[in-house]
Amino acid sequence: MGVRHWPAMLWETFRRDVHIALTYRLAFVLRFLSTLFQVAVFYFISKLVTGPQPGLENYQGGYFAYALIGLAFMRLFSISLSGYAGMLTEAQQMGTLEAQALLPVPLPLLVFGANLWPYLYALGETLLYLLLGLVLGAPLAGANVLGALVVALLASVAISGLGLMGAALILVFKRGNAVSWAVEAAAALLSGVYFPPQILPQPVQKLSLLLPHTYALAGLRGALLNGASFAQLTPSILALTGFSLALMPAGVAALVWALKQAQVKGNLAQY
Amino acid sequence: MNHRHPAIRVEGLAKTYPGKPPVQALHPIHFQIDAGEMTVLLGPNGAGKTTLFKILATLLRPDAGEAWVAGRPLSQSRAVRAHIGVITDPDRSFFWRLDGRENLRFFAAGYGIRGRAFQRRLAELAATLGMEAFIHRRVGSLSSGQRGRLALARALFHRPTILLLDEPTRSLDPAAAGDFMHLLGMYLQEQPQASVLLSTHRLGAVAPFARRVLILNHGRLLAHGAPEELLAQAGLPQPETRTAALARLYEHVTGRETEYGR
Repeated sequence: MGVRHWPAMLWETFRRDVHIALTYRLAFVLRFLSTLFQVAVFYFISKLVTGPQPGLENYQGGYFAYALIGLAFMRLFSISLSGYAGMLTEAQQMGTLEAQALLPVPLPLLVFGANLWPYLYALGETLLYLLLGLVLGAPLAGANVLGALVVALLASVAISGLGLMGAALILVFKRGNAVSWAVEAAAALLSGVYFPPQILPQPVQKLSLLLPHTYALAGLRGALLNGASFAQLTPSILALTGFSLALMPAGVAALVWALKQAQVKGNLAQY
Repeated sequence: MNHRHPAIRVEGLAKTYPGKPPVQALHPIHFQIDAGEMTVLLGPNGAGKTTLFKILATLLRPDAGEAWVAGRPLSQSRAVRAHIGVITDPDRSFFWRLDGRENLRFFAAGYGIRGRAFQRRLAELAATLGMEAFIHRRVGSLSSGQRGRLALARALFHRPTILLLDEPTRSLDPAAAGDFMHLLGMYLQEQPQASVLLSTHRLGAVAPFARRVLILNHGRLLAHGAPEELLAQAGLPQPETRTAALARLYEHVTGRETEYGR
């Protein structure tokens, strides 16, 4: 099957996953409730965080708005990070991976396609977070939406590079998702998801610079809470472009290498 | 497929699985399957049958040797896959939350078959394979026999010139296995140039179709040819039925008994 058929194959993969997701309708309701409760929890926590706080003064809206952006976009970044490995593990466990590998289509294309629906669903959840935040008073009215989209897209590409490396580890070591969890936990601690990195000890703060999440969340808060212009977002955009250029090719190369290893060892479907 | 080439040509394929200790699953083997032939691959568990199938289906890389499938070397894996239909594990290779039609739609798209072409082929196969009654049911609710038919439909959907069927009747009862082979026979009548390599332990079900056999044991190819010729070469009498001929040959070559007795 030629390259011209690849978009159609991506569409069919997306469509397949939507159909499967629709068979678990209760999950939609539970995820909605989870989002609602999480926003409410941080809304009430924010009532305790009053007065000037280090790192918060850079953004409008106080702690609630700060945490809202972290929560909203971590769902999106989490899918970029662990969705590929999750797809492979699920296909291995269900027994569908070899059947897909038999198609005359590059398997990395199907791995990528299998993350489209989870990514778009997570994007919908991110918008829901922001909508709920708007209702509860987060200052999003003057947001630079296009700037936020650019930052979110670049961050997704960069973090997907890490996610593809995690998928490669799944194929080689069968338990590589622990790496995704470790990166996610490090991001939660260091990158300013729930609190500004400025309150961390100085040496630990420096570690946060190694994660694309840090630049992404800074850029997203600037764009959404302060209405920062593209010129003001340039440091975040440049950093994320650098991460994307380094991590995405490395992730693709790692996945292709891991698939070859699995073909040598004959353990593609093992988990 | 270019019919000047054999359907499958294997020259010195060998495979050792890495590990401690390494497991030599296939010693260098050579054989050829011509277009329009149905070849039955026999051998006890662990003989190397699945390893051979996976190599020919480009799921596994050999350590040595080369093979050409539909005239293409295995290194052209996507071109090879476009010409083969494969059944490996009928029970676990579908999306169980989707119905049969949705499953086939996804896999057909992998061959570029979409829209009206998909609808036409689906209608043909549903009628031929008797799937109308269950094609709209979730795969998770189907019986093993129905999933076996669905697996055959998936393998045939793109009209492959070569079928690689690794124990396709493994989880079927004898009647369903007979039905499966009957449906396969119908397909081969429609597509006389199609070649089949099929492994099984059910000699009775495949005997009427087994023009040629390959017998593997401990990763070595012990016999290849028409059962009657192989029996004659071994100086063994020709039994009355083809099933008995296969059983006698298998027992002679591998030293193992079959359910049909010595």
